[in-house]
Amino acid sequence: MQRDKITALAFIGLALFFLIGALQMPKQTEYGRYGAPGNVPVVFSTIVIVLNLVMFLRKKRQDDSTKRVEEKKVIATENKRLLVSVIVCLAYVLLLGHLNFIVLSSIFIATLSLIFYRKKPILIVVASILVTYGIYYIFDKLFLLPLP
Amino acid sequence: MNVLASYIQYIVEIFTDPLLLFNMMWATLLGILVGVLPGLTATLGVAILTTLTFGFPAKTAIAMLVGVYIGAIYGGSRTAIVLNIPGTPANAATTVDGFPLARSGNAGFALNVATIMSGIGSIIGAIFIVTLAPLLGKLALQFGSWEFAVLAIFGTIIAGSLTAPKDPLKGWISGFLGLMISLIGLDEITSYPRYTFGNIQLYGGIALLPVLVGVYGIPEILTSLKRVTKPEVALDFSKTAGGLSYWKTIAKNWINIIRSGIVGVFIGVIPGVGEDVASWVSYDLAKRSSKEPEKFGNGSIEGLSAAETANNACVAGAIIPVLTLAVPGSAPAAVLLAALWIHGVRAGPLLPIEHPEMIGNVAAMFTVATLLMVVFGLIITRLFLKILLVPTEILMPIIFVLCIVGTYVLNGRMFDVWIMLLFGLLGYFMRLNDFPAAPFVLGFILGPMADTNIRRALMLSKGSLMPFVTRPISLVLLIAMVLVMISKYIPKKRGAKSE
Repeated sequence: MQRDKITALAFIGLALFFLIGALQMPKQTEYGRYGAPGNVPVVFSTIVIVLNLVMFLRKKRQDDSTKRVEEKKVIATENKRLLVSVIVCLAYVLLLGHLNFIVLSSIFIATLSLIFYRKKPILIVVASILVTYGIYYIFDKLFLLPLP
Repeated sequence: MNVLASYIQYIVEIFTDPLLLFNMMWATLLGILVGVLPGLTATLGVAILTTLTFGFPAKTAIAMLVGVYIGAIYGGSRTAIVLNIPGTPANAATTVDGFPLARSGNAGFALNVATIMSGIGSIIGAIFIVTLAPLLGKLALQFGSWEFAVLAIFGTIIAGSLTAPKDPLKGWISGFLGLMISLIGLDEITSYPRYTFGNIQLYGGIALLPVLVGVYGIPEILTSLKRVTKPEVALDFSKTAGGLSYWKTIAKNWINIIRSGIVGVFIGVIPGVGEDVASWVSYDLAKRSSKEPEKFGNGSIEGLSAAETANNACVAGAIIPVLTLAVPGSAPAAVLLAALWIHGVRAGPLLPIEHPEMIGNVAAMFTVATLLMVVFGLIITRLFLKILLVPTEILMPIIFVLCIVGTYVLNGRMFDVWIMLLFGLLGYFMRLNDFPAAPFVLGFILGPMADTNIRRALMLSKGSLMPFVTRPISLVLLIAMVLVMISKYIPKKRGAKSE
């Protein structure tokens, strides 16, 4: 399966990064060489590499990739929705701390809701403000936990 | 102090402390709400509540977290029955017979049976906390570095095998990735900064909560937001219980109920293997031993009872190794373990010495939370189902804000939020490619334990690996681990040959 092979390569890359890092760690410590900080990372990253190599090299039956036109359309729509969601969520996180929490979170909840659910806009905006104020009140006022 | 005495004493304490009882009540209700909402898992519920309980006394906080955990596992059955969508992964098996029952107009009966069975499952679980936990605690006192090292690897591998039954290799990869990534930060033995690249924020390592919220919460939010198709709702309460009697159901099913409860507890004890596996295994056992197996999948009360008894009994099972070994039996139990640390309760073999009353107290919390769950379940969860009329497009942005806030307040820094998002991305990528999240999280939790104990064991034996096979408990765990791996591999080879 193509996706498995790509995933295996990605994880091998990550494990190699950990392995190289581990090999550069001190080999001798005041606890002797068995207490060296790189010992266990070497073992774990090597195991990850070996397991992913097995996944990369194994033969699996190919999935039937002939998807119907409707399915492809659904997947395309879902990917668009996913992309929009990720962009709006990232924008929200990037702006956190730069704008007032209540204002920003209300706008975020209302915007993301209205992008996908285009009904009752006034209700959604009012609900967003109320919910955000509720979160603010519980965390900031009730439990005295600072918000971004 | 005797476990049974501390159990009874704490039950009395809860009922005579109105504030504690009130806190447990709203936490249990919150748990049911979390379970009712598809996309919110018990893990996420416990994680979010952990941030809210920072200011509470330790025992109150733990009681609330137990309440939210039990409530969430139970609450998931509501959507499983009326929506055919498990509110939490633990309720996946509930959909098989719960939804057909609801569609045939018996939604009310199915919901109440699930409530009663969840309650019975939890009580069976509480009995095991009182009886089994002290025994496991005594055994844990004999554990040395060798046993803890093997246990950490054993837990990760077994979680990988059981959460990815079709492709255990992916479960193992997920687990070892968790073990590997957990090593970021200051090394516990030499204080050497590993993979920190001079970043002071990484010196303390990556906190568990951002990882959990990221791996479980973000993929669910993104999946729900991108989903185009909407589920069918079977809120049909048209038929009254009529000829169906709750007592007769219990009497007819008592063997099934007890078996499912015991299976649930013991699956819960296995590190990293959660309520979802417990309910499927019990469901399968109920089907095999049923006189009416043809009813399974078409609205079988036996199937519904088995699944719901087992998943709630499993909660208790998952808590037992948390208390005695500091090894979580499931993902929500992992957050509970983190919460115990945050509140200054060091779970593990020393718990019965440092906090002798704690095992009995947790069993008491479990019992009271179960009673509250049953009362709320029978009286007001139908009202909660109204929330299902709120579209996910509105709910998910709110949940995203809660995830961000919950992660931020942990240390009051944006760094944790970015870590959460990074792990959210990894979690989403893993979900797309059928890698289970549970072994990853378990590996992440057990990583430091494995690291320090492997090295400590090697230092003690001057580099010899022999104690791993000469010490009985370590040897048993090693053999079990190898058997689990081989058993997953051999049938696949045979199957491949026959193909």
